[in-house]
Amino acid sequence: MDLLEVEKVSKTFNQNGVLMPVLKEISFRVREGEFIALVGPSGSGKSTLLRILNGLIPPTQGRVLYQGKVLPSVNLDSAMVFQSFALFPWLTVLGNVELGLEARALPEHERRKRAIHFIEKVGLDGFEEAYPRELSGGMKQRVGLARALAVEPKLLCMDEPFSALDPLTSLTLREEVLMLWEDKSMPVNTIIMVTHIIEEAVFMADRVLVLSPHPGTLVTDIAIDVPRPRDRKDPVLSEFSDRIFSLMA
Amino acid sequence: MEVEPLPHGVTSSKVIGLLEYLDDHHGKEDIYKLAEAIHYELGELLSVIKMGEMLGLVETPGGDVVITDLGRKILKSKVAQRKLIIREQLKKLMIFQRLIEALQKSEEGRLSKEVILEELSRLLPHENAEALFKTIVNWSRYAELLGYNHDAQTLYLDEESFPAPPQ
Repeated sequence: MDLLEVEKVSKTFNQNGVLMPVLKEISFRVREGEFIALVGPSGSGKSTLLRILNGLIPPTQGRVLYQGKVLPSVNLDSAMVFQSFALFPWLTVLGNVELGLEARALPEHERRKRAIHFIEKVGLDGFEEAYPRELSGGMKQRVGLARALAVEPKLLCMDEPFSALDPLTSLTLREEVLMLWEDKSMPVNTIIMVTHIIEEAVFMADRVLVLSPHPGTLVTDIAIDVPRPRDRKDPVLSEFSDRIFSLMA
Repeated sequence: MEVEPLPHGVTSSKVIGLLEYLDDHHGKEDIYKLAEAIHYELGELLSVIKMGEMLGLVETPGGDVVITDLGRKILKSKVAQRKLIIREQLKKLMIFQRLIEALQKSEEGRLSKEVILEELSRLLPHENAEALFKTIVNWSRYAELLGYNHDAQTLYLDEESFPAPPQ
């Protein structure tokens, strides 16, 4: 069975009485274990689509099925990583990661244990008592990752997770996210990532879904059938990038 | 050996990102070309390279930056192993040796930020002690060499690196 089925999803926002169509009849399926990238220029509604996929906002038309069932509200089997990190400045790294577990009704010692486990998994051990303002962008995003992973989601949604980072830091974080995704001991095995960087999508994903803007429409769904580990300089990856770029231009 | 400051604002993610880039380019790149390729100010890139060099992860013959065997080893290592390698490299730097000595001489292996800032100003009078302190804390935490508690404003020996003696 597919993990996620997206059926003719449309979304229209009402802006001061004016109807703004953002997404139009988007359909695709996601199998368990896939790494999907959603790419498109600004205005293609890719971040809105990501929020519909994990139930943060409802579609205007169409439906999203998770494991064969319609999503009634937020999908508790999924977690989100945000571009802006979305950390609480008054909480330490440990506090921020534990907070994500509070809604899951776990006993306190279990929360602590799990938070520490995932802090280690993302390489943040040593930073447990640091506050967000003491951290670099790369470390802040690792907190965002640890917080998302700690709820042990089946589906990890990432919205432009590397866009706020400097180029060298994003190189490191991309590799680390791939290491986590390939780590068999991690509960998460399906990732949907929104990005506007085509090379990033092609390097990381199994499939790249390309959206066109105003309103967002699914233009194409390309399988990146290149074995892993991948080489960023692989000419085959560049060909995929060129193809996607020409579709978006 | 003289005490050398750490370049300000350089993080482990930037140094490892540099190694990733070099690995993609046959382990070597011209420094000017590299700055252009990754849209870095030259000064900022030189700081990252300098830190990589202090850690033994890159070398800079001529105008190039070249990855070392240890740099390649880091790329092949998992996140936890990377921290161990960096910890051993940091321990070789005089600035960390001096701070560790001072902490080991202190009661309970901890000192206030104020005392550390004074020590840094004494060791490196021309450096901005506050900025240097921040960089030291960042690397120390990453390598679990030293810890820092912001609320108590104290730097201490991390138990991962300095386990308490058995009672």
